[in-house]
Formats: sequence, structure tokens, C-alpha cells
Amino acid sequence: MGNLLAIILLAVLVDNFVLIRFFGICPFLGVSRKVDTSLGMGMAVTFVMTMASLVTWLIYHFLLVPFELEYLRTVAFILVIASLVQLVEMVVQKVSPALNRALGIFLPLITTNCAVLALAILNIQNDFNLLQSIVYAFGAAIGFTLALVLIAGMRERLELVTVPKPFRGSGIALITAGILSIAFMGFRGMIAL
Amino acid sequence: MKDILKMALTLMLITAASAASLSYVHGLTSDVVALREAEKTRQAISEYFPAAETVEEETVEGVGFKAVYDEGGVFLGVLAEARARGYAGPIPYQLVIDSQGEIKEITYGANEETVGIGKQIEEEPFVSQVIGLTPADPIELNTDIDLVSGATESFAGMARSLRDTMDKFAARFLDGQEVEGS
Amino acid sequence: MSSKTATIFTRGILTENPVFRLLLGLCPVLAVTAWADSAFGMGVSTLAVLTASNIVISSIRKFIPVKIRIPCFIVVIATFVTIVDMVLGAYFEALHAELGVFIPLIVVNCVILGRAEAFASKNGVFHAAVDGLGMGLGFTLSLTILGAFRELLGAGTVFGQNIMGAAFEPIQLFALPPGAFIALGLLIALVNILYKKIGLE
Repeated sequence: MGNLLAIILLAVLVDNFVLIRFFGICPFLGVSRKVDTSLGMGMAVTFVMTMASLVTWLIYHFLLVPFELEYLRTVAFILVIASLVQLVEMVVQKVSPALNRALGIFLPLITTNCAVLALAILNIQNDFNLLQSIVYAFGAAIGFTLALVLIAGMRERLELVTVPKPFRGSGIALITAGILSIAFMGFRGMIAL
Repeated sequence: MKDILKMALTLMLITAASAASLSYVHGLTSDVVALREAEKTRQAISEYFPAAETVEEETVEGVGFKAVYDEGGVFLGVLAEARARGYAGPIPYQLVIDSQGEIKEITYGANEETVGIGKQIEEEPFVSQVIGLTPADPIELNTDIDLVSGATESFAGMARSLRDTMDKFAARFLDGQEVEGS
Repeated sequence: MSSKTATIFTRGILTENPVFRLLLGLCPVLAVTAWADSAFGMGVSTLAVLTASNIVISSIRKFIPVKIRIPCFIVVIATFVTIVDMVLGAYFEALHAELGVFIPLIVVNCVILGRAEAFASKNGVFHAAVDGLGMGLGFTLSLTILGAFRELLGAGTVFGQNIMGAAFEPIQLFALPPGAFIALGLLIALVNILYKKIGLE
């Protein structure tokens, strides 16, 4: 159990997917203008990431490894993620109109969110077992959401101040992210696997 | 119905073409990689164990050893392959260890350690601190291995793994021998 | 070169530069630019995948049903990424080790899928190839500039050549993750000022 807790803390704080590892930067800048859209995106990513790490782990260990097809990893994973996102989209549409309103517009964006593919690959590279993979995915997605919400909160404040013209928009958002990243560097050394 | 069939067929065709071209390229490049690895082993052996005659491979609990013997069957040393747990995933590394248990060389495989922090395991002073270590040394942070601030996980992971590799080496190859300097 | 071809080619480098203007594909932009040479290597790998996938997607665009075009594009892109991955692993071992997990992640670089969807699936093979080359060059150029900038401040060198002299104390922050965000933010502001000066806005 201690190990699983360490994995979660590692993924959320020490090794934050967005601020330290640079996975999922595109949605990070694209949808982080408002806190509530950031939360919606974060929830959608958490759901897809946890599912994706489960399915890709199974496919890798029960399909690719036995047939010695490890080199098809990238193609197989991205196909799985794309179909999974499509599937989730259809299910959400049918089952819950409320959830669809909340997550609908974010789901298509997740296919090209590199955090999901990165996670699937890192699970393999880290030799995680199935349970560890899912826990790591959950932690990484929470870390992603945390970074997104933090940045969104700051950007809402930034709207109210006068920013030098060349820095308006992405420039100041990136520098803010840099300062936040310095703060997250402070967690270094807290946990070692 | 016809539409769905056409879509499935198209996607299948493209995937099949993709798999075919990938397995072709894989066939070409995996040979190159295998040759390069073999060449590296050969070079390390001819550099450190010029009298080598036979090489025996074995694995002790996840650590791969290539034991090198001379013509008369005298043990010369090993090439060891192991993986340390770093800050950002595994750090594969190779050691050349002589018959007395002294580390002669350390090289690293691909890892994701952070440039400027964890990556310093691949730089001085760490590398020269590792070279010359024997199983009799403590191999501990802050005793014979200096810690670089901010890079605790990478250095602690390496120190732990080196200790483990040396223990396995000593148990398997130094059995009953006096370790110099102990 | 006809003027249309020229426009397609220069667009990716200047007016629609994927990194500095459109802010696309930023994950590798931030992650592998601590050194100019790994940034350049990532740029060239992306250029190769982008051009090859643009050519293939443009040439098969008439056979692909609209509904499943995205999965088809992704498979084509992933194939070329895996080829680049294997070739780098076989012939450029050091670069392969340095770029690590960011090589397979070229698949989800939004620039590539974006060009497939917005350009290659609607245009002829020749123009698609030119578009891929232009966008790829723009991407490579931006990555190399950012890499050189970070390496200069973070280590005092550019492509491993010492520029700043022995008296310079490197600002290590620029080699670390926060430095990536800050350096890119600064460069984007700089590009905004430059573009305004020469009237490309």
C-alpha cells in the first residue's frame, strides 16, 4: 500500500505531468483560461487516462509481448486511445446528457493529448504491474488537473491587470507556468520509488 | 451496411500496410542494433580482458553477467548489466568488473533523468567515484559517493543498485576469495 | 517555384510558424530544448514524419471515408514515427537516448495531425509535400533557436561550443523544466515585437 501511495504522490506533485515532465501542454494553454473549463477538462482526462492505462497495459502484456511485436507499440497504443476516446464519447452522449454537456467538447481533444500516450508508454518503461499502472494513471491525471486549475486561477487574475503588450496571451501564461514549475521543483527529493 | 464494411476494410488495409512496413524496417534495424551491441561487448572485452578466450552468460536475479575466462579457464572478470531506479524511470547501465571485484568502467543506456540534475550520474565526479569501487567498499551516499543536491533520487537509486550488483557479483564470482582492501 | 508554392512553403516558417505563432506541438518544444543539438534532432525527426505523412495522406485522401479519416491519419503518422524511432535507435544511438519517450510522442504532436487534417487531406501531393517541408522547417528552426537560447544561458555553450567564456556563471534554471516555460514565454514576446516591427502582424 505504501508503495501505491508513493506512486500517487510522485505523479501528482514530484513528477507533475504538466509542470515538470511537459506532457499535455497543448490543452494546458488552450483551455486553462477559466477554472470551471479546466476542471471539466481535468475530469475528462482523468477518466480517459485511467481507462487507457488499463487497456494499453493489457494489450501490451497479453498481445504484443507474446507475439514479440513490441515494435508495434506506438501504433497499437494510439489506435487504442483514439477508439477509446470515441467510445467514451458515444457512451457519454447516450447515457448522461449532463455529463455530455460538461465533458463533450473536451473529449475529442484528448486523442492528441500527449499525456495519455506518454502515460501508456511510461507504464511499460517503469515495469509497473496492472494495479501500479492504474494508480499511476490516476495520480498523473490528478496532477494534470491540479496544474490546469492552478494556472487557470492565475490567468483569471491576470485578465484584470495590465500586461505589457508583447506578453499578452501565451507569453505571460508560459512565464506564469514557469514560476509555478519552480514551486513544484520544491517537491523534489520528497519521494523515491 | 455497405458504408461500415467499406470503412472497416479501409482501416484494416491501412493498418495492415503499416504493420507490414514496420516489420520490414524492424527486420533491418534490429540487426544493426544487435550487431552494435555485440561489437560493444567485443570491444569492452578486448580492451579490459585482452587474454579472453571464452565468455559465459548468466543472469542472477535480474542482473546479467557475461563472465570472461582466459585460455586456461582462469576467471578474468565480468561485464555486468543492471537497471537502477532513477527519478524518472529505470536507468540501465553496464559495468566492467575485473577478477578482483574492481569496477573498471561504467556506461549508461537510454534513461529519462532530468538534464542538469539527475543526468549528472553520467558526469564527473560521479563516474570517477564509481570506477575503482570493490564489493568491500561501503558504496553509500555521503561516504564514498557524493550526493549532488536536488538529484537525490538518481544518486540514491544508482548507489542502491551498484551495491546490489556488487553483492551479487561477490556472491557468485568472489566466493571464498579474500577481497583486497577489506 | 510558382508564387502559390512559395507561399505554402514560407507560411510555416514565418506567418504561421507552429511554435511561435500558433503554439502547437509544445510538449517536445519544452521538453527537449535544454540543448541545441537535441532540439535540432527533434526538429528534424518531426520534419521527416510531417513531410512523409503529408505525402502519403494526400495521395490516399480520395480513398478514405470521411468518418474514419482521423484514425487513418493517426495510423499513417504512427507508422512513420515508429520508423523514425527504429532508424534513430539503429544509427543515432546518443540522440535516441536523449530524446527518449518524446520520439513516440511525435505521433500526438498536434502540428502533424493538424496539417494532415487542414491541408494534406484537401490538396495535391506536391503541395502537401511543400507544406510539410515548410511547417517542418519552421518547427525545426523554432526548436533550435529555443534550444540555443536555453543552452547559452543554462550552460554558456551553443551546440557544445563555449560562447560565454570562462567568467560566465551558467544560469542553471534555464536548463531545468521551469526555464523551458520562461525561455519560451520570453521568445514568444520577442517574436511578437519583431513581427510588429516588420509589419507581419
